[in-house]
Amino acid sequence: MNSFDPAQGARSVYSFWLSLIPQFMSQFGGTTGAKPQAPLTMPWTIPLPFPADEIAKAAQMTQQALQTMAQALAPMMGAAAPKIFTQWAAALPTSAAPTMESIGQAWSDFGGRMGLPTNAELNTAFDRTYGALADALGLGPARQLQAAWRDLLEAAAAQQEARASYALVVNAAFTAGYERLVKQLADKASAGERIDSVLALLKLWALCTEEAVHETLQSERGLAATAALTRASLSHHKAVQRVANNLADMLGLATRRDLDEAFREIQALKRELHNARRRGRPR
Amino acid sequence: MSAPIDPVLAGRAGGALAITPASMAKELAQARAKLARGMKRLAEISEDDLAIATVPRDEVYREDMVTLHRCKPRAAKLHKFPIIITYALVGRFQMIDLEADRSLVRKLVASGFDVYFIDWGLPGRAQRFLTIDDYVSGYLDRCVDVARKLSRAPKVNLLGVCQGGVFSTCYAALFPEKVKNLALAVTPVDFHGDKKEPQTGAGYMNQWTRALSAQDIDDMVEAYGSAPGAMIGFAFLMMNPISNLTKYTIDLLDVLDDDAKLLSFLRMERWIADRPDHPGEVLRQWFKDLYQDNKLIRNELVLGGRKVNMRKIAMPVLNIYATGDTIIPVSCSKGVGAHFGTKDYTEVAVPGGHIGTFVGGKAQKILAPTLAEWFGKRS
Repeated sequence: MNSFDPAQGARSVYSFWLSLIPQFMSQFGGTTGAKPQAPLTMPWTIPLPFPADEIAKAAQMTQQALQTMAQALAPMMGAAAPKIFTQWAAALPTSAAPTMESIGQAWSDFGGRMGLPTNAELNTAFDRTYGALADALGLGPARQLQAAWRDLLEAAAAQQEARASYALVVNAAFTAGYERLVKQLADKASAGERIDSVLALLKLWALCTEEAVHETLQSERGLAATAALTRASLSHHKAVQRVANNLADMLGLATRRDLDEAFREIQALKRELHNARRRGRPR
Repeated sequence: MSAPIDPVLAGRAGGALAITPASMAKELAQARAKLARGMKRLAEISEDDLAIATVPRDEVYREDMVTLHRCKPRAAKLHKFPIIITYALVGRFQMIDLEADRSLVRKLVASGFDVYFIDWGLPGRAQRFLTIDDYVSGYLDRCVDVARKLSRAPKVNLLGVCQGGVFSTCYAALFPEKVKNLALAVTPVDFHGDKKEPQTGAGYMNQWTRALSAQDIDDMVEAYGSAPGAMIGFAFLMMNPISNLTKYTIDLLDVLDDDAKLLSFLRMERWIADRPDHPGEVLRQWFKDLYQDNKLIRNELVLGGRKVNMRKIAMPVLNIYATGDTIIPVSCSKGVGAHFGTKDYTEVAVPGGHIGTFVGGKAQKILAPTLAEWFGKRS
């Protein structure tokens, strides 16, 4: 059979989730010691079929994280009971929040993961092309490009603001999730129940946090923040396209709009053809 | 962490923990060993191990990126009317035949049905301007005609899944003379059903779309053209961000230690990763006409200049919904019988979630037998 060749987008989705593993595990004291998306040394040489290769990476990162988690959590588990939670809570602001901020940022930046240039890349590209185009084509067309570029910078700033608002919302969800965990544990203690597994404790944390994330993102504030982020991301995406269109126009290349018009026309012709055939045959 | 932890509550919570440094060290060492065994097993996995949708079949029609497949029959005598399965555009058809022992398609074939299914393929940039009508009155209608001709049947049974269920509903309303029976699985019919019964963790897509304006949707289609499949997949994963973090970390411990679970997990991951791009004009109609304006159940949806009137669906209708569906909330599928024109309407609940309906252990025992019996009695 033919091997499965995932689209680059599918790889980027894995890349995103795997990049969060170090942040996710570090809030419990586990750290892979590897930078997000850093290549890992695998214990095998033959390429694994997709997605076994990605899952193997995740397993290895988790294994590394568990190694350090035991050491980091041991003093907390050995401490007097109330101290565990104050210590854990103290660790959260610098660990859990960036985890969700990363998710929020990735949400807004996802277009970038599928081929759009970053602002830094655009800056460099602009510096290079602006000067060259101004020399080659004169200042008129270059001014249009400059205006499009200014719009893009404004859109990027607006996107940052929307991201910050979204991050506030998701961080509040994390806080609520942690409070929910503590409450649930207190209830368990009152009912005489005990948790004797650290992995069970992590799963309970995940459950409590997921519930809080759902409640927060489905609240009026959460939906408004998500919608605002969507709008800001779309504006940014369109501003990038305007810059690209300007460049294409100036260089006499077909723009996205030109291609879309051709596709629209082809689709309309196909529709007419099918309708004509349908009219010509009995049902 | 902005809010300080209540020391009294924290003290009580600490009383629930019976984890010692020694027990934790032992547990985590065992976990690491499990992961090591799992990685060794992963290294042995071949491409053939991960093959999905392998039901024996023939490609009987192809147009653009769309193909119609006909499963090789297993029974000597087939039911008179064939079944055409129509999946959604947001995922690939393989979900209905993910694994040989968890395959809706194989079970229907084994029950004596002549089964066809449509693979919508991978629409590219050139398909941006395809509309829902192009799918319903175009591709689907031509697939139905091919199946009618090959099976020598005047009508077909339609089985629509999720978005494919909406397409099938529209088709049955527009071309009732070609549809013998209509079955829907995890299909949204009342897109505002979640407003009546809000549910935490379910219907996020409904709420998110309504939080946007019609102009936002137009901007989205303008900006992206066809929505990238990876972006759609990412949006689905973001509905449960924490579960998707634990899936690739601590939950792996259970998966990697069980060969059957591991293979099923990897096949499912392969399916999840295979997200087609979504044609922009379909997306525009899907979000604006359905999610925002709920036009299907109001009989206001217009396709190709024709109104989709659900009252024209007079053939028998079977509506299957999943009790734990968070993508299509139960309230969007359940209790919609009065809106169809049929007198023969049946609703069946299956346990599990949106995808669990097709691959979950409990749902497997209900879904295919229910469909086989229901179609069987009416075919």
